Amino acid sequence: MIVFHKSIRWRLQAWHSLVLLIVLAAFGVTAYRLVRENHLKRVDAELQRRMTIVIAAVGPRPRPAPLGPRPGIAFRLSPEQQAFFDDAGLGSFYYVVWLSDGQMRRSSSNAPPGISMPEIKSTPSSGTLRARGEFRELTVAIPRNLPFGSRSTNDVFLRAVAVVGCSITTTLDELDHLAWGFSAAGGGVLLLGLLTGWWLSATAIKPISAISVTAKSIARGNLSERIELADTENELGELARVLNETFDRLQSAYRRQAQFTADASHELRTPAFVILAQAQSALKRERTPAEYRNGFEVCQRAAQQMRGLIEALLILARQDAGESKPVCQPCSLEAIAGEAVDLLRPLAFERNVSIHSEFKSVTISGDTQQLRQVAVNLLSNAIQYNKLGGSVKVIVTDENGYAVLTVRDTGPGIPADDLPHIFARFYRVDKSRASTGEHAGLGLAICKAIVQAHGGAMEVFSQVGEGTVFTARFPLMQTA
Amino acid sequence: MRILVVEDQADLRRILAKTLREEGYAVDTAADGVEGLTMAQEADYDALVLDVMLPKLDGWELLKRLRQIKKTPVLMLTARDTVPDRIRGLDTGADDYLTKPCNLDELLARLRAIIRRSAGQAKPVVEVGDVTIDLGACTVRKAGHPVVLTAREYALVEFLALRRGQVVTRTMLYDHLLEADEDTLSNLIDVHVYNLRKKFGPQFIRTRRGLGYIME
Repeated sequence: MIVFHKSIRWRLQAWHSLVLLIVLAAFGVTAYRLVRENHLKRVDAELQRRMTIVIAAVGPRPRPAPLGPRPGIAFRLSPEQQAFFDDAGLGSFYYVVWLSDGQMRRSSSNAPPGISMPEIKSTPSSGTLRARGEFRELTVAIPRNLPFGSRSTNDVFLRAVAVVGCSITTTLDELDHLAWGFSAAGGGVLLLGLLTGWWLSATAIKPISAISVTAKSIARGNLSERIELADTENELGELARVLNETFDRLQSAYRRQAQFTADASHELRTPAFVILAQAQSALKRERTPAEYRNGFEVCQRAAQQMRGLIEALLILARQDAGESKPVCQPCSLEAIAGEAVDLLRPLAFERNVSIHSEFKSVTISGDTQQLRQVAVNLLSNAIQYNKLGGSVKVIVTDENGYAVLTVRDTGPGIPADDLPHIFARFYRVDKSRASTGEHAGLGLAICKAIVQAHGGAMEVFSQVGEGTVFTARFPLMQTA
Repeated sequence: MRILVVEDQADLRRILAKTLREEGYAVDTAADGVEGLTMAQEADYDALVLDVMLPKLDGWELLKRLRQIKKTPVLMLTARDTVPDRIRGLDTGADDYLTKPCNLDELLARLRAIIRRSAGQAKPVVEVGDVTIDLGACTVRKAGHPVVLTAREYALVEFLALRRGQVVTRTMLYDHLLEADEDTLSNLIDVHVYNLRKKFGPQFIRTRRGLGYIME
C-alpha cells in the first residue's frame, strides 16, 4: 500500500512546485520593484525640474522693506512658468510656498486642500522627497540671503519653505495593474509547470508500476510472466532486465524442482504398484504357504527398490539444501577406491566382469563416506552396463595438483546425444527402466553433487562400442 | 478371452498374469515393446494391457503401429499421470488409461468393460432364454437362481455371449480360451460345452455341424 505523503510521485511534485514557486516569486517581486522605482524616479525628476522654477520665482533678492518682524518674500512666475502648474488634470503638478513662520505665501490653484507646511529639521538644500497618500512631494527650505544650494540651512536662516508635488494615482494604478499582471502570469506558469511536472513524473513512474504489476503477478505464482519494457536503454530498463533474468532463473529452478518431484513420484509408483497388486492378488483367495512366501519376496524386492530410491532422493535433497556439507578430514583416495572394489567384487563375479586397479597414494580432504559412495556408484555402473566378460579399470593418481579417480569400462558406450544429459537426475540412456538398478537414474547425479561439494569436477568420455570413462577430480590436500 | 500383458517389470508382469488367469482369462506376456508388438500383430487378442515405459519400443509407438492393422482393445497402464500423457495415450488409440498404482479390481473391471464394448455389447447383462449372464459381476443365473461355474466354463459362456448370433469356430475357442501351453488337440472345449448344456439345457449352446458353436 502506498502512503500518500511517502509516494515518490507526490514528493517529486511537491519539491518541484516549491522550487517553481520560489523562482517565480523572486522574479516577479524583483521586476515589480524595478518598474516601480523607475516610475518614481521619472516623477522625482519632474518634481526637481519644477522646484528649480519655484525657487527661481522666490528669487534671491531680499525685500526692500525691513520693517516687519518677518521679512516677506517676492514671488513671481511668468505665464510660461505658470503653465507648468495649474493644470487641473490628474497627475498635474502643484506648488505651495510658506513663509518661515508657517504662513502660506502662495500656492497653485490645483494644490490639494489642507496641505500643511512640512516640518523642517535639517534638510539638504536639494530637498526632501516624501510620499503623502496619493501624492508625491518635494520639499525645499530656502535659506535667507544665502545663495541657493551653497549649504544646509537651519531655522534661524530660513526664509521660506517650498513644496512641489503631484498626484501619483495613475502611476500607482499602473503599478497595481502590473502587479496583477505579474501574479496572473506567474500563476499561469506555475500551473503549466505543475501539469508538466505531473506528466513527467507519471512518465518516470510508469515503468515502475509496470514492474510492480508484473512482480505481483509472479508472486501470485504466475512464473512465466515477464516485465515488458520497450526502452531498455535507461536505468529502469536495466533494472527490469536484471529482474527478468532473476525471474528466469527462479522459473527454471522451480521447473527443475517440479520435474524432479514428478520424476521421483513416477519412479515410486511402479514399486508401490507391485506391492499393492501382490497384496491384493494374495488376498483374493486362500493361498498355499509357498505362494504366500513368494508374494512376500516380491513385496520385499519392491520395498527394497523403494528404499534405495528414497535414500538416493534424500541424499540429493540434502545436497540441494546444503545440509550435508562434507565433514572434511584427510583421507586417502586409493583406500576408498580399494574398499569400493572389494565391495563390488561379488557383483563383478556375477556378471563375469574383471576389475583391474592401478592405485597411487594420494590424500585429499573430504568426507570418507560420501567419497566411497562416488566410487561405488561409478564402479557399479561400470559393472552393470558392461558387456559380458568385459573389464573395468579403476585408476587413482594425481595430475596437475588434482587427485584423479578414473573408472573405465568396456561397455557399449554412451551415444553422443545422451552424453550432455548423463548427470541429469532420472536421466537414462535407455528410456525404460529395463535395468532396474538401486538408483533409478540418480547414481551419477549423486556422484556429481558430491564431487562438486568437495570442490571437484566430474567428466565423462565415451565412444560407442568402445566403452566409457568417468573421471572425478578433487583438489589435492595441501601438505603443510 | 485371451489377453496380452506387455510389462517390463518382471514381478508386476507375473502378478498381472496370475491374477488374470485366476479370473479365467488366457494370458500371454511380453517383456519389451518389440516382442509385445510382434505377438499382438500375430494373434487376435481380446485385449492388451500395455505399459508405456518399455525397453526397445515404448507403449505409444507400439500402439501406433498396432493400430495400423488391428482394432484390439488396449488398456494402457502407466506411471505417467499428467493430463497431456493421458490425452496422448487415448488419442494414439488406447481404449482406456489407468495410472499406477491402481486397484487390481478396477483394472479387471475396466478390462471387462473394454472387451464388452469392443464386442458391441455395451449392456453388461445378456439374457438367453431364462439364463441371465451378468458380464460385470461375472455371474450366471438360471430362472433367477445363481449357477456355479468354473472360471473356464464362465469364460466360454462370456465369449459366446459377446458374439451372440455369430458362429464361433472351435479354433477361435482354442485360441481365445486356452493357454498357449495347453494341448489344442484335446477335447477340452467339448467337455466344457457338454457340462454347460447339462447346467442350462441343450438349447443354451447349439452346434453348427462342421462350423462350430452358436448362442442364439
